[in-house]
Amino acid sequence: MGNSGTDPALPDPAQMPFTPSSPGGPPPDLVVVPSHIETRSWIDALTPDHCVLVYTERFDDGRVFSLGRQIRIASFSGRLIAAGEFLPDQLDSLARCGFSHHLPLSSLADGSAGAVLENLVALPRPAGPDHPGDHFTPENDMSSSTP
Amino acid sequence: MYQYSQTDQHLVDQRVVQFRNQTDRYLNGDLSEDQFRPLRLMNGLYIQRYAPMLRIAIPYGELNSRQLRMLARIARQYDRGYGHITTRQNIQFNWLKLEQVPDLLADLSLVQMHAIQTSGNCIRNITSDHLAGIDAAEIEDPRPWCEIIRQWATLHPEFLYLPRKFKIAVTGSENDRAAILAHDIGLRLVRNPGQETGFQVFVGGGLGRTPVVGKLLHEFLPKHHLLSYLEAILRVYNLHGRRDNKYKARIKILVNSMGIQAFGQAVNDRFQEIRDGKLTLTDDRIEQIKSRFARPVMNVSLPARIHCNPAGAGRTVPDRDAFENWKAQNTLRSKYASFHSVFISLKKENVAPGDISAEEMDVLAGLADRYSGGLVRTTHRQNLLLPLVHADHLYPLWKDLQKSGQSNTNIQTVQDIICCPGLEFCSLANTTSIPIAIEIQNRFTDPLELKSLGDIQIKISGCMNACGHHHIGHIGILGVDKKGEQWFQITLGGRADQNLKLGTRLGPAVSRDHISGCVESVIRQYLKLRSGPDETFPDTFERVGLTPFKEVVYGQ
Ligand code: SF4
Repeated sequence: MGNSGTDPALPDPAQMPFTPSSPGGPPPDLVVVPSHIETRSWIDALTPDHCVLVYTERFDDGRVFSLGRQIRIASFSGRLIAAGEFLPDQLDSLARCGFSHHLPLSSLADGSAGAVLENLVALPRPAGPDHPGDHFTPENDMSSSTP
Repeated sequence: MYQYSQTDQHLVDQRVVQFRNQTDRYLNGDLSEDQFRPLRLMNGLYIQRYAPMLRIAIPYGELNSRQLRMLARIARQYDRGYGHITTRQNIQFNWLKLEQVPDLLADLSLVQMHAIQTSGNCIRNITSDHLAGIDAAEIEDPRPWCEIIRQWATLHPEFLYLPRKFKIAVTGSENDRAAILAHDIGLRLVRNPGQETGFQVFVGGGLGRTPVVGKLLHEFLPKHHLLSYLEAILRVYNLHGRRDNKYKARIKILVNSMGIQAFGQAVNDRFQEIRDGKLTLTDDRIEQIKSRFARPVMNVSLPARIHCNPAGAGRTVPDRDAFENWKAQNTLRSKYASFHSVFISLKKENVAPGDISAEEMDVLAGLADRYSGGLVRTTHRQNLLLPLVHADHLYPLWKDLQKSGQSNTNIQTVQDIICCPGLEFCSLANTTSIPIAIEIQNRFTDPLELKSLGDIQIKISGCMNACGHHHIGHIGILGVDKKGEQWFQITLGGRADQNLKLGTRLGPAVSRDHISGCVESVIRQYLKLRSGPDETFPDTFERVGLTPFKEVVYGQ
């Protein structure tokens, strides 16, 4: 189940940063969430089969970090992707906020939604001391896995 | 004073390495100005009018003599020989070279100091009452709570890119000296009828171009839930605060647009999701933090060469009077019997308020070692404080301060002005502020007059950003630009205490040539109008209103 218009509980696919109708189409379980989404009821509709992609156009858009947290707090255990041109300095925080993968938007230059899964970068588990606000789950501790 | 754990030190050391790497990437052209900006700001580094400015954190205003000596060394080695104490208890250096900042930060880390989150859109340095832990009227020492919040807020992975800056202040006293109602979150330690300690939580206060008094969000938050509740507030703000207009991005705007009820409900919803989770503070954790505050060292015996002369035998009359005057004005009894808190004024003739030279820092570090267990504090009024000095040592301390030119007897007088850097340093300024402060100070130099005027709080900002807190000055001065000329708006009747109030605008702005004269007229009018020496400026203003002050300024 994806948010390509079939599930009204999930965010509107028209908000996607890439063309959903392009060849291949989005993978069936991909839920694309813009960082500026106001509602949160869709979080409760997630199942472990979903792959959630939160995207932003600005690297300093802090909402992404809180959305990651919110999604994990709601016990989502699947793959959680932060899509945007984040700086290397920010990947640690993304991982600590529950993201398992990063997707540089520039890697989607061909507009192919199918390219999403091919371009994922697994976020390493941060090295430094734990922070009281860390949110690791086995699913987002992807340091040794490949997408 | 709090002593770093290994984890604290590791974090600060890592941050130095990270910032060195970021600076190198920027200087090599691998990071754009846009990308580097939030990274450097998060580390306290501004690009100011003439040079980079670094703001160094002094958590809740507490320093030891070793740290003060390091600041003196930094002033000499990296700056022009002085630093500037800010209204949020930090210190700024105004004349740095970007490429030297990583080395400076490495030096700071040797004495458990840093510049993390002293700027940028993140949770800033936690501030508190400068009399924390030494005020007899306090419910509980707020410093361990500030430290608990500091550790949670430092490099919090979720809250490094907030819509705007975020300031938290904590007080443990009913007499608010930390201006908690002018903060994004203000916390007051309180007791409930069952004598349990918790927090009154205020939210959405702030000054700037839209000044707002904080609103009560929680009447009694049990202390174990402090971090979970703060996290819930920050999460609501981070997700819903405006990001399209930086002037509408502070939490006060979100609280006003949602309404305090709806905002409180949203916070509570997020709080319920995480309450009793891993942010819950256990008694053990609280005790662990409290135990890292080294007990104050009470200096009761001085080296034999220091002549205490507590009874005053052999002193001359002028000497005795000057000492008694200084003692009455610049010291306070602490909660420890026989120990006083001593204020060191940083309001000196023809010097920018809050400025302190490297030599003065070194001297004060020595005096702190000798008289105050090696401890020094910074205050919101841009002064310093030796927190615990034995009563018998006040006289020799005063003599030492006289020798070093640091015995100015103007604490809590009309000379004790708060003022932002203004046009002298700040690239956002409309007008100058430091010269205005100096002009006003120079109009009131007679010690007897200063004393009789009492504590009139003058606060000056060089633009609407209100870094000089003019909205909450008894007399507030705001610099405005009118067709390239400097003009000044005056507000009256503001106050920064537990009854925090925003001042009322007196009337049209006055010109650069007239501003200090107008302020003098307002003060002289207050002298005529007050019902007695105990009636403060805001109380007189409350009673008589604007009209009599307008008359002396505008001749109406
Ligand atoms: S109030 Fe304005 S002029 Fe003064 S320091 Fe702040 S931004 Fe600069």
